[in-house]
Amino acid sequence: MRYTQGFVSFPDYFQRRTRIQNILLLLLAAFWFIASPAYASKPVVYFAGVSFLGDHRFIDTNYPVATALNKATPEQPQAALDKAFFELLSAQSATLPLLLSRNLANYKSGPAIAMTLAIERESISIETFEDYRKVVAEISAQVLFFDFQAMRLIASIPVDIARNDVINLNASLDKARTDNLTALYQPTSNADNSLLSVASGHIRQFGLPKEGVLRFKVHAVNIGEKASPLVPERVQHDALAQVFGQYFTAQLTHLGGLNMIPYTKGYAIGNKMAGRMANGDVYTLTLPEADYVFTVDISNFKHIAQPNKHLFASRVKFTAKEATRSDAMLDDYFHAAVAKLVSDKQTYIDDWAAYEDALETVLSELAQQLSAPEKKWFDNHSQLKRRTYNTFRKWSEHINGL
Amino acid sequence: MAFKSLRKSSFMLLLAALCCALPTHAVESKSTFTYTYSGRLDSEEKADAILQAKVKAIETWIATSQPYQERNFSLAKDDITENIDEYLLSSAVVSKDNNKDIKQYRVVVRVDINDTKLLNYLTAVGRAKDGSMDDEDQYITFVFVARELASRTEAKDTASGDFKRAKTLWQATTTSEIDIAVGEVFADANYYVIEAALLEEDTAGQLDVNNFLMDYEQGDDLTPGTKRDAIRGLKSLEDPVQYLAIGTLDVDEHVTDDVTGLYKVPVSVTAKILSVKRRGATMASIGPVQYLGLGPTPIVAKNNALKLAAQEMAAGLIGQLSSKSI
Repeated sequence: MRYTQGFVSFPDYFQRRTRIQNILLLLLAAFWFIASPAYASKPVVYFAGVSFLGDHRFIDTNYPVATALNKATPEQPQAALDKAFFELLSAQSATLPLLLSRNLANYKSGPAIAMTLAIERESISIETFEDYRKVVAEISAQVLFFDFQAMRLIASIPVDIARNDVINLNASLDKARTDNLTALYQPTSNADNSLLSVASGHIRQFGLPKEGVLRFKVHAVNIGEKASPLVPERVQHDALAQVFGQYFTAQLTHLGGLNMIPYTKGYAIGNKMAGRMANGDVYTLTLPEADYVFTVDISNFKHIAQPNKHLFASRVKFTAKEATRSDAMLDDYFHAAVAKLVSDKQTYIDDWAAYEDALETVLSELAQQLSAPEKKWFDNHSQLKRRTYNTFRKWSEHINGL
Repeated sequence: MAFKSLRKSSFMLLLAALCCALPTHAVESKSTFTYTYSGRLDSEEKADAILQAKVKAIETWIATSQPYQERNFSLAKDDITENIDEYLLSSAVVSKDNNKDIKQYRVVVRVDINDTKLLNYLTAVGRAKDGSMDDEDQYITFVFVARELASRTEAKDTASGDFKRAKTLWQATTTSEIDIAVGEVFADANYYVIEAALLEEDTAGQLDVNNFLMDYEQGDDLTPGTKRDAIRGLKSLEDPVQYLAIGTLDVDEHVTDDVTGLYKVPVSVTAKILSVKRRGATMASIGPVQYLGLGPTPIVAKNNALKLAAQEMAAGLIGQLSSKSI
């Protein structure tokens, strides 16, 4: 440092004082920011990018569009979806309930939480009409928060997104598949309807579960004898169970407000869930044990033709039990129906799509009723009506009273 | 980006090391406790039922995962019950059910056990049981070797016709993974750990690590000569080392895990602790027990397996020693 003797001119003194004041003000602001409750209470979460759940050998086959989009290469080391997701979350950092870090998680400094957006399904379904085809693209994913030291799942947020499109009969189905799924990952317009924006929206409203909070899991989704013949041959039963297990889990999280363990029948072995990152790294997470388990038996589908519309109904048996017990706390049949208008131009009535809608409806409403049972709903949708309503009320009181 | 965002490929090594080798500092256990009451169930009885369920959750974990600490637990149970929350990181009441017809109150609790703290406490309680512990008893040295199969030959016994004798030769080495892991566990349990190599000169070569390696390359135990010399050497020290821990960690061939694509390496452990003062009597023994290490390369998987096996083996030996007030 160089010292000079003599007077300091007023402007110099003023500038110096202003600089010092500025530094002090900045320090004060930083201290205030760090000390503020909003900042202090936010947990640091290490960003681990986008990943793909399941057997590492089939990742490219199961997620052809996402893996192509998110390939890390020597020329482009930052995979596109990873980069976009991090930038999206960073832009919303003020409203996020966590402090996102891209640094290396330091397990030696104590517990560290990492986060990945794990894609678990990308699928396309096509309905054919007289002069066009309707394309529905769907993506299911989980935002997984895990203990970086123990590689143990702490919490998950299910994320589902779908997109409808209409194409000519002559149009390429492969292209329709790629275009529609790509639009869900990387929309050219309406960025709110993308997997990344929906996931970030869920994260904004999310709070990491407190210690000792109860854990729930959809243990199984089974397809009963009567329902089985009504499932089209092209639909594999395991895949169907996986889709609805994930769907119900998502509804129970978002509508039922329950701390759900992911439905993992299709890609977990025992209590281990495997995934692969964009750069090929593989990880294995240990899933915690559930305190309460749910089972859904899809027992039947029914189609009622009316003059202007068709009614499609789905019936399920739903049971809930505490994991250490064999007796069920909740156990009844539930049903819901959806109406479908049939166009003169539709060459083929796709019962299955309507049955799926009915199944989604009954599961979604069940999830709502678990947290806030309504007597009228049970009168219309359950077999044992009032009796089941009372058991749901007791269940709700039991869970809330713990 | 992905894991690279967590600092390039080093994440993978770190991840593998973390998920496969490091002991977790919290383990979960669940338990049910049914309390039978008379008259009316009051809040004190309810609280006591929850407390008993927590203690039972710890007891269940000890019985299934730390059987060598069962004796120490029975000594420490009252104190642990009184200060239960000191040994739990968190707990949740999963279910409460009062069956008034049969006057039974059933609670289910899930606890996160601070296993490091609990095991250290149990070991200390066991060792201090009858006040016999003195400074002399706290010195321990060890020679644990990692072995990989070098060759295996089978010979037909001409006398009995179809009887086959197998001769297995091993390649034996000492590794820092094992030494550090075992040393940490012994030191955490308040033993003074001395590296065996440091004692070679003091024992005038009677304890010779190379002799151990040569013996373990030929067979599963030390020759009587090696064992006798080592015990004599340790006994002759001015400040005697009272315990000699020995054993082998046999590394099997790696296989690939189908789902993750990671390498899996199995390690089989056999170990014991000999008392120098008691003419080499076995004070604790483990195995053979199998452990599995995972990693992105066979070497990382092997090191993880060795580290895990060494930690678990040392913890088991310590549990047995402490239950004998050693």
